[in-house]
Formats: sequence, C-alpha cells, structure tokens
Amino acid sequence: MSDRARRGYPVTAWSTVNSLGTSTAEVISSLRRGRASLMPPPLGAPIETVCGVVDSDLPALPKELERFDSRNSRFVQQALVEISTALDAARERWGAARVGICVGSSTAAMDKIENAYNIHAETGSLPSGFDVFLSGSFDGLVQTLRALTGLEGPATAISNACASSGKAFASARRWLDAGVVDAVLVGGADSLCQITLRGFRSLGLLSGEPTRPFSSQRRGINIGEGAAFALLERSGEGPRLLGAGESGDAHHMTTPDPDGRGAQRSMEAAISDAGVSAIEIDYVNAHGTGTAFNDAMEARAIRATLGAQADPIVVSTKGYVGHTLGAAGAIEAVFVLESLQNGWVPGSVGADPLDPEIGLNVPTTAVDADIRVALSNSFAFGGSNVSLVFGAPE
Amino acid sequence: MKPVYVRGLGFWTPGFASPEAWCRGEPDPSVDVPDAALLSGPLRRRATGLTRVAVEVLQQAIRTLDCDVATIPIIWATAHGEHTNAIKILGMMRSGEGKLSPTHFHNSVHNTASGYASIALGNCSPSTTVTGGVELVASSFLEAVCHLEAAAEDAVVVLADEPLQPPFHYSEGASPLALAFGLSSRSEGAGAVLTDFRRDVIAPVKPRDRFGPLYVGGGLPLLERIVLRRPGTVALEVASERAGPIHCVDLELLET
Repeated sequence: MSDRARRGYPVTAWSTVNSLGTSTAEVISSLRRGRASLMPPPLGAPIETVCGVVDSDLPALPKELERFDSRNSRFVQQALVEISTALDAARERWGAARVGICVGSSTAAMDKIENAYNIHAETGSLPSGFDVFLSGSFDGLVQTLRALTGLEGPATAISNACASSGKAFASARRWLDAGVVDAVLVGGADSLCQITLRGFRSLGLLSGEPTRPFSSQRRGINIGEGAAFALLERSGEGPRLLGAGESGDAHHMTTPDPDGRGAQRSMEAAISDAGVSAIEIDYVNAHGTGTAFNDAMEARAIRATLGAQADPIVVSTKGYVGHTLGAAGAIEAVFVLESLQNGWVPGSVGADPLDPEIGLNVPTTAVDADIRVALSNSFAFGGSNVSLVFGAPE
Repeated sequence: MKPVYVRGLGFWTPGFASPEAWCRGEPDPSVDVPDAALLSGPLRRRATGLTRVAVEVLQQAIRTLDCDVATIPIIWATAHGEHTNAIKILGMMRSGEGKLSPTHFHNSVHNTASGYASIALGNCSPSTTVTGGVELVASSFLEAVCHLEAAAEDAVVVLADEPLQPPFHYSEGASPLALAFGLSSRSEGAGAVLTDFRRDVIAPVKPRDRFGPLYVGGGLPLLERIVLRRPGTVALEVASERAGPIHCVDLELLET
C-alpha cells in the first residue's frame, strides 16, 4: 500500500444489531458459522416472503426520551450500548463539539407512521403522544443520537434509499478531510415496514424463499432491518476507512444501468480516493441483492473495475440478514471491519450453485484469509451508488 | 475553510417564481404549478409535486452558475421528503388496493428529486439527500462546503419541502417552499460570499406563517439578504426548543 493509503481514518469501534443477533459478538458468530436468519415478516402483510427480522424485545428508550421511541430508535440504542466506552473516550479526547454524527436511513420509523395512520383511520385520532416529527421522522433519529451520545458536533441524516449509510461514511470522510470534526459516529438504521415490503413486491423483486445472491437459482430480494455504527477518528488504532467513491447512474429510478457504468464509477472513485490499485483489493462485500439483474450488473462492473489480473473474494452477506436498505452500507461495513480485523471472510450463503455468468471468486462457506484491503458496495433507487475501501489495521 | 461564492439562486412557492419576486413582495397569482422544464415529458408526468418544485429551483440556480451540469454535486435537503406520496400509499394500502404501483413506490424515497434530476441532466455526480430537523439547512451547506473543500469547483444546495398532510398536518393551509443556492469556489460573477460557517449565539430564524414550521425556511433569510444586499451574520436554523449556539454564517457582498 502507498503512503497515501496508509493515512486513512481508523475505525476505533463498531457494533451492529440485526436479524443475526442483538450484539456484535452474536452476529459475527452466526456469520462465521454460516447461519442465516430469515423468517416470515411479523407485520401481517399478505406477502409470501422471508425477512431479516430482529426477533427480540429490545428495551424502550428512557422515560425522558420516550417521545423518540420506535423500533428504529431501539435498534440505535442497542447498537450504541456496545460502543459507549469508545464514544466516551472520543468525547473526552476531542471534545463533544468536535465529534459529529452522520447517520443513514431510508425509511426511519415509517412502521410507526403506518401504525399511527391506521389507528387514526379506525378511531379518528392519532395515538396518544404520537408526534410525526419526533417519533416517526429522520429528525427524531438525529435527536435520539444526540441525546444518547451527548455529542455536539455536526449531526446529519442522509437518505439516499439503500445507499444511505454507505454515503454517511463518504460524508464523514469529507468532514474529517475538511477539518470540520476530529471524529464521527457514522452508521445507519432501518426497520421493516409495509410500504417497503409491498413496494418491492410491486417491482416484482421480492423472493418468497431465502435470497440467494450470485446463484443461478436466485429469485430476488429479502428485506431486513437493523442498525450499525462505527466510530471514525482522526487518529487511533483499528482497521481504516481508506477511501469512498460515489456516483449517479443518471439512467432510471429503479433499474441500474445494465452495463454497470454507475457502479463502476463509484468503485473506481473509491479505489482512487484510497490511493490503492485495483489489484490490491482482496475482498469485495458486494451489494449482491439476489435479483437476476443486480447481481449480473454488479459482477460485470466488478470485473471491469478490478481487471483480469485481480481475483478478489466476492461475497454478498444479504443471504444472512436480508437487504437492510438504508442500514445496509453500515451493517456490511461492520462485516468488512471484522474480516480485516480477524482475517476471515464469511461464505456467500445461498450462492451455491453459482451462476457461471458471474465469473467471480464467490466462496459459499467462510474462509480464513489475510485481507489487507476490502471494498464494499451499496447501490440504490435513483441510481445512487457508493463504494467504500477499508484497510487492515497497520 | 475556503470562501464560498454564491453564483446562483432559486426560489419557488405558489405566487412567486423567482427570488426577486419573493423579495420584492410581488406575487403573481398565475404561479401555481412549477414549470420544471428541465424534466422531459415522461419524467414530468411521473414526478411528484415535491420533485417538481425542487427541480424548478435547481434549474433557476444553475442558470447563472455556469457549471458542468453533468458533474456538479447537488445536495438535496428535505425534512419530510415525499410525505404527500407516502400518505397516498398508506391510503391505498388501507383501502385494500393492496398492490402499489412501482412509480408510487420509487416516488416515496427521499432522494426522488435527486434521481429525476440526475436523469434529466445526465448528472453522474455524488449527489446526496440530507434530512432532519432544525439542523437541516446547516447540514446541507456543510455537505456542499465539504465538496468544495475536496475537489468540486461548484455545488448546488436545494432545499424543498411540502407541508405535512392530514392526518399528520402541523400547518394546514401552509405552502410548499423551495430554494436553491448555486455555490462555487470561483468568484467570477458572484454577488456574495459566505465565510465562517459556525455555531454562535444569535437569534434563530422565525417561522413564517405562510410556510408553517417547515425547516427549509431556515434558508430564507440568507436568500433574502443576498437579493436585498444586506450583509452580516445570518442564522441557518429555525427557532426550536434547542438551547445554546445555533448554526450561522457570515455574508459579505461583492460588486458584480
């Protein structure tokens, strides 16, 4: 790696909550064992599919924050518990005003808005205490994070559909580059809701079976939910965020450019920003939604970006937790950080039998590997693409 | 941080189709639907009301920015996003229509306007949609400023929101509001320059009755003072329960 690449920004702590568990250790243990966690949705939707459901009763927010309480904010609270010591240390080290918050979400607490709407339709009144600004909106998400962390730097929510939290990393990197902050709590959160499930069904993209990214038998997406956070600091120990690249397809609202040019541009921009060469990419955590179209497009774009000389391990982790939408970039970043820290890569569950057209090295079981540089992709409605490059601890 | 030059502005609300008309207080009753000519026929037919107002002010701001529209980063800011469309979808689900149309669904994401505009302009830039509450306007400027600090020569901030719809209405009868700022590292042709984005103890922006509590209204004083040539420190936050310093910026005027 070049000197430029060595600079990066260390990720000094991270955590996640998703269908594999409510602690990072639980999640990573399941990932390592190749145990997917997908089940029928709990929302009463008349839809035959399976989802990555957080199937645990998480604690409500404290009394003084109850106006922000939602399924989404409980994911956030749970994920923050594990990194609270690191956050305290960052606040002490840099000062609360020099630590920012950048969080991505696609729907925030839309499930709570759906519920309030239905109660209003049945009773003529919104639920007692319901406030669409505070408990159902992105403002509520930001305020929850401020209240739970005591951080006083810039606080932004990004909502670029399924690229939201990946783009939060890109923005956080720019904040650090510009000297606006010395550390950023970056992450994402999304919870299951009816609009999402019915919407993806309307597009004909939902799979009735567990999703199988990169398999010749792939049938579509499973939707998931959860949250993940990472603490980026100007200096410190840990795997590093080396670079970020973003692009737009300028093609179609829901269908990616079939030639993968937008995806290729974001990967190339991330690799360039990281100051590494394409051949150095050891591992790609793909967007890998399990639709016929996305996986073919993404495989084409990866091959075109990295070139014939490269042979990275390519994995989609959506077979474990589903597509967690706005949280996906952050959750998959945590998976990548674990790989860089501990020297292994999860299997791309469901990929067997591999679609021969994919043309990539896709393991279906976990493999030990000395991963030095990894790339993670997130693509979204509106043709919004983001790629992140992470490096192993020095 | 580098100074940020303002080289383009955009404004739209019913009755007012330009920053100058708004600042002069000269309503035109014929202004009821935004032109959004940037969108081709098929795109315009599918676009939501929020997307149309956002695209309208974008095209106003880039008119004088003299930029490469294919590469310029565009920062979209909206607190409620496609709330009006989401309420329609909830009604459809409730009434048993069940299946949504793909258009209704893809028009429900916060970055809907960004998607439509990128297709219309052939814009492949790293555009971002920021959302939130009282810090929304400051967040959008932060994104743009960081792009300018990095590699971008120009960037546009588009602020757009519609009043919340029943049963969630906070501001029945309020108007949609959209404003845009064409920002640049280049001083040529700029009428104003922004320096020292910070938090300070100054009075926040008072909500206007016409727009209710729309957070994007936090950008109104900046636009008005640029048009009316009134320099000084300008607040970027609407009044809220939040105590302490608020986001603001220094505005200086330039000879054009």
